[in-house]
Amino acid sequence: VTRNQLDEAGERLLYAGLRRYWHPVMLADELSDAPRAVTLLGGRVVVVRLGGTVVALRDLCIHRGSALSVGKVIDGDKLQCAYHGWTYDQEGRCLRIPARPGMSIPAKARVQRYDAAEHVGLIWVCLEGPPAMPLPEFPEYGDPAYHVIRIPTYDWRCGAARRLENFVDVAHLPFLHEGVLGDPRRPEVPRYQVTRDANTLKFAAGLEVQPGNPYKRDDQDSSELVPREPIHYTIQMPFTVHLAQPLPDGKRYTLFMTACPVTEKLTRTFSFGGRNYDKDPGRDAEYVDYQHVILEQDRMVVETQRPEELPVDLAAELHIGQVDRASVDYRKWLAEIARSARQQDRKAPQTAAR
Amino acid sequence: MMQTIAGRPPGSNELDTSGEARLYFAMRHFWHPVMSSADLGDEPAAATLLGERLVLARLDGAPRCFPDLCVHRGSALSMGWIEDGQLRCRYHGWTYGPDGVCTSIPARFGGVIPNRARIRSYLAAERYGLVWVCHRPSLTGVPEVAGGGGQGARRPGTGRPGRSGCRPQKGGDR
Repeated sequence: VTRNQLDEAGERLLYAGLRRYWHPVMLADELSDAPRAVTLLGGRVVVVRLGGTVVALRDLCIHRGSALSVGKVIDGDKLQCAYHGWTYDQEGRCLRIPARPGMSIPAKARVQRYDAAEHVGLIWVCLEGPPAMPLPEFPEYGDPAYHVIRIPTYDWRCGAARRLENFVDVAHLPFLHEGVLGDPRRPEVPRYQVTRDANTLKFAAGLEVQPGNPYKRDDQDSSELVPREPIHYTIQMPFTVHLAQPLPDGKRYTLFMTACPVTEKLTRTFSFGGRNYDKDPGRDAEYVDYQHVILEQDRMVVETQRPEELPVDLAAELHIGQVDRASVDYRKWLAEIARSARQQDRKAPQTAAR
Repeated sequence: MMQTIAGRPPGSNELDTSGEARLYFAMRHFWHPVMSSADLGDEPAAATLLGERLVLARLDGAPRCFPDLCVHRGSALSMGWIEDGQLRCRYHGWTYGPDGVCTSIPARFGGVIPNRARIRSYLAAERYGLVWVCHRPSLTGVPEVAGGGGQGARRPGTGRPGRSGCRPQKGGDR
């Protein structure tokens, strides 16, 4: 026994099901006029702007399997393979095979195209469209009442659902973030309700008290405990969370985090912070630094979790009544995604091998 | 003509992998040294034995050994700390006693600890300046060294007495 039991078949189904959802793959402003390679759900994808549109293709030239991401954009709207110069359009159709200029292009000469979108400062890809859910919402993005900052992207050696569950978990704050977000003398999590709608799980949860001044590091005595409003969490399936912390005097601090399942055991997280107060950009570094402190504490433990994947089978780990309510509801939803993949497999067995 | 194993062509020495797996499983019935006594202080320590991640901790004065896996969320208990003779998980603060039974779930406002809230405990012992672990009911004792070497044995090279050799505790391997 090196880890809690993992239902391997169930996990495979989940990862098949996740192909039908939008996932963030990179920051939009990191995609200029050159193609970029990303990995999503274990598969290599090339992302490129062609004719002003974001295009995502399988990163594999149909001719010799070379990566199209090391190719280049020509005429502003076509992607040319670096190896033999085969040239593809936005749909992934090969338009030109330079070694045989007169030859008609075979219909098979095309690469798999995926759905791609640019949204809230990120590039999103869905490997098997149409997407099962719309792109997640980030209401503060573009709202002039809020100052939105980027938190540096980070990679953790864990499954994306492990990363999400850590983000929405209140019970760990007093121990893992002692003196920052909680205090071990007051570790109890008050009862909370989870509401499910078409695409989200919503709940307001939190500890009754926390140290000093939330979301700001300062020299205050961390042993001083102050009352705290519950945090409003919105999980947008499968791997996005919007968090809002109400503060006194109408202040509101929000976080938007969205996790890319690079592989089953590697997660890249993109996140932004938004605040309707203290909007001087000169103060941003302090907020970023504060996040960094918390994230390093989380990473240290989350990367030890075994299995690295979040077990879809609820019985694999032990859940505590009210406290783990959100986690249990989230795992049940992931299990539904896995089941829907199984039904799809029955309908279209030829796609199962991908 | 040369013999082949399971139809494979002769080449390098062949490993009978299922036989190896059985051998390694059988090894769980024997005592193995996992670390120097001196490396197990007041903090939990991680070790790997036969491919399994273990946590070692001195609880109630004796070395204890468990799978390095909190039953709640699978996090490594070796990241935690020892508090009042209990091993505390760093993630959510659950504590485990010397027998691996969970004694505290801090996030709740009191209540009964569920029966499932326990981790297995393996046999652990300290001899010759080393910490020894055996997963299963042992077939043998900790290997004997001629001239004694149990209680009060000197650790090689240090000239200092080793920590007292303790008897393996019973009741492990649930």
